[in-house]
Amino acid sequence: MKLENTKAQMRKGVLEYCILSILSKGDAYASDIIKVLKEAEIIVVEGTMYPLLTRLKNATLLAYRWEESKQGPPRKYYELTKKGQEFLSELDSSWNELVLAVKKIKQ
Amino acid sequence: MKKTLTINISGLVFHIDEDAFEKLQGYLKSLNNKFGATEEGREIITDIESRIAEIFAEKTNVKQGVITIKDVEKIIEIMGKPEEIDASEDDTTEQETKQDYRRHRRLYRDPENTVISGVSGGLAAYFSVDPVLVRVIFIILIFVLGPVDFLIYIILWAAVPVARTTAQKLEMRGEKVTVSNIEKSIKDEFKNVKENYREYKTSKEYQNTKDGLTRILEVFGIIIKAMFKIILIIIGIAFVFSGAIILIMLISALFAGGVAGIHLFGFNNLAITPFLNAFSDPGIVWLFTTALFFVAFIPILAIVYGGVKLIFKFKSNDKVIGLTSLGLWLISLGVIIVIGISEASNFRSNAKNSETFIINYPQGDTLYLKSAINQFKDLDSYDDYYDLNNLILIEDEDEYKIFGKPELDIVQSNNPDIELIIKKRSRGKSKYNARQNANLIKYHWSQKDSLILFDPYFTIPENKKWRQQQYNIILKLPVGKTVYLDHSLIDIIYDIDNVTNTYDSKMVDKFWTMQPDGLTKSQ
Repeated sequence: MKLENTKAQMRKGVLEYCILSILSKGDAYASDIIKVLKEAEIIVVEGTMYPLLTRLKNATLLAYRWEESKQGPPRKYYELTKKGQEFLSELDSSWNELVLAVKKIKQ
Repeated sequence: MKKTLTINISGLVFHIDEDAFEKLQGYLKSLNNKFGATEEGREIITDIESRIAEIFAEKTNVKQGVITIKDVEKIIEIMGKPEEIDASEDDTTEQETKQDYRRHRRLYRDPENTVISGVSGGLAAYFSVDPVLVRVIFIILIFVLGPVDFLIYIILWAAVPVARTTAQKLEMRGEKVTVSNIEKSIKDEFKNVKENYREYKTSKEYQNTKDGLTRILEVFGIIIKAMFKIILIIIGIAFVFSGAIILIMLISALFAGGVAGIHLFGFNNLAITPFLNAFSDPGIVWLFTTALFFVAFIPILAIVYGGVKLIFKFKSNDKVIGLTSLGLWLISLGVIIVIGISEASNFRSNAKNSETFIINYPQGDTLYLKSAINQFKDLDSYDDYYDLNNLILIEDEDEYKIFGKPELDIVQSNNPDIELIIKKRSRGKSKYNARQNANLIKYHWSQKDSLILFDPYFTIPENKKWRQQQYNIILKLPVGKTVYLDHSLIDIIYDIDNVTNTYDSKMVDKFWTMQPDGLTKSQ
């Protein structure tokens, strides 16, 4: 049992939840999401996020549209799909349960 | 001054330093190795690329808009190395990436670690040792292998590519080649068996096969396949070890002047080189032994190389290495044949010179024949001593001397004189040359009253070569005369006819009288 593995497993699940939460507040493009995640210090390397975004998109929890940008090439704007919203609310309640459970155990 | 390239990352144009470009390319390639196989993966890479473009665009202003290697390093730090990005659902990713590196370990020349061409640096990276060690070994090998050492270096220089991209540099270092990795190779095979078996068990094939026997056979097949691979690895280890031992023996036999205890081709404590020097000039001998070395060395090296490949399963430029060694092998074989033929031509003709001496009548009717063996240092006592069919080669203070054994025969004289007939024989390129060679034989015998002293050996002048010289001494003895054969003659007398058919070795220490029907033992 490796600590690193366990940590990575924990973070991976939470990361999906975080991305969905960010997008629930409004559409965002990749760099915006990264900025929030980095500020919250939940990701170390940015590269981790792209596979996640792609996977969530392929699971039709997310969708994206191309939007022109002043500074450069068009950007991918991600938004939560209906399925994503449902998924997120499921995650919300299970997250709360989890936090409670851990709290209880820790006391 | 630095070369700058212009690149386009997801629609944005950047100027980038060459080294930075290589680093970036290597990074993207390593990402591609990780993700690139699927549609999903390509999308991920596109996203990452556009993010890289974005970050670059933020950092470089238009005026000094060149991306340096530092920027690229920063990008890699921000985005994360492939092994830091966890993509797949399960947690075996890390392990697999590591295995891939091992499989892909390749020999490159290291451009960051060069004295001449980076061969040593690359080898050092490959074997995970310090480059200085490799260089020292190369230098030491000059004394062992001589020019072969340089040749090996040049072949490596030509055959091994330079590690240009980061991906290649990663491949160059790879995972350490250690004993524990050999063990890992074997363990991997066992793991494969387990996995294959599990896969097979869950496959439709298995479910459909009701026949128990077929199942058992299939399982056997999987096990045998793995056993075969493990046996290959063991054979590889055996190849490497035996090859290395043969190599050491070969090198010492050919060049190092013989190593005590090594009996190669029946040569005892004598290197091939000095032996061949008896036949030909040092230059030709050098060429010949070098060619001989390659002819023997290349197949052994191929065995060692094959063994190493079986063990470590690395990629290499087999085509170049194979063709180079095949070419070298054929050239060497050609050299051996050409030298062989030209040397053989030195033995084409033979010639014989005869001289007849009259021996003064001794007082009494008895001649005492003796060998002047005491005047010679016992040849056996030299360090390097070689004796084959009348050719004796000794080394005396770095000089090689050729000795031959004369042959003494006694026949009946058909006149009243005691005659000594000397026949010198030799071979040579031509009749003339052969006669010259025969005349160059140095030999000494002398008569003092009734005693005749024969040298135990004839010699050939320095720098003259062995051309199958022979020296025959025939003593013609009239009827009624007696000879005493001293024990010292035992090595010289050759097939002397006598009435009792006594062997040469039994004839010594005895008096022999010439009777009308032949040589007879006297009482």
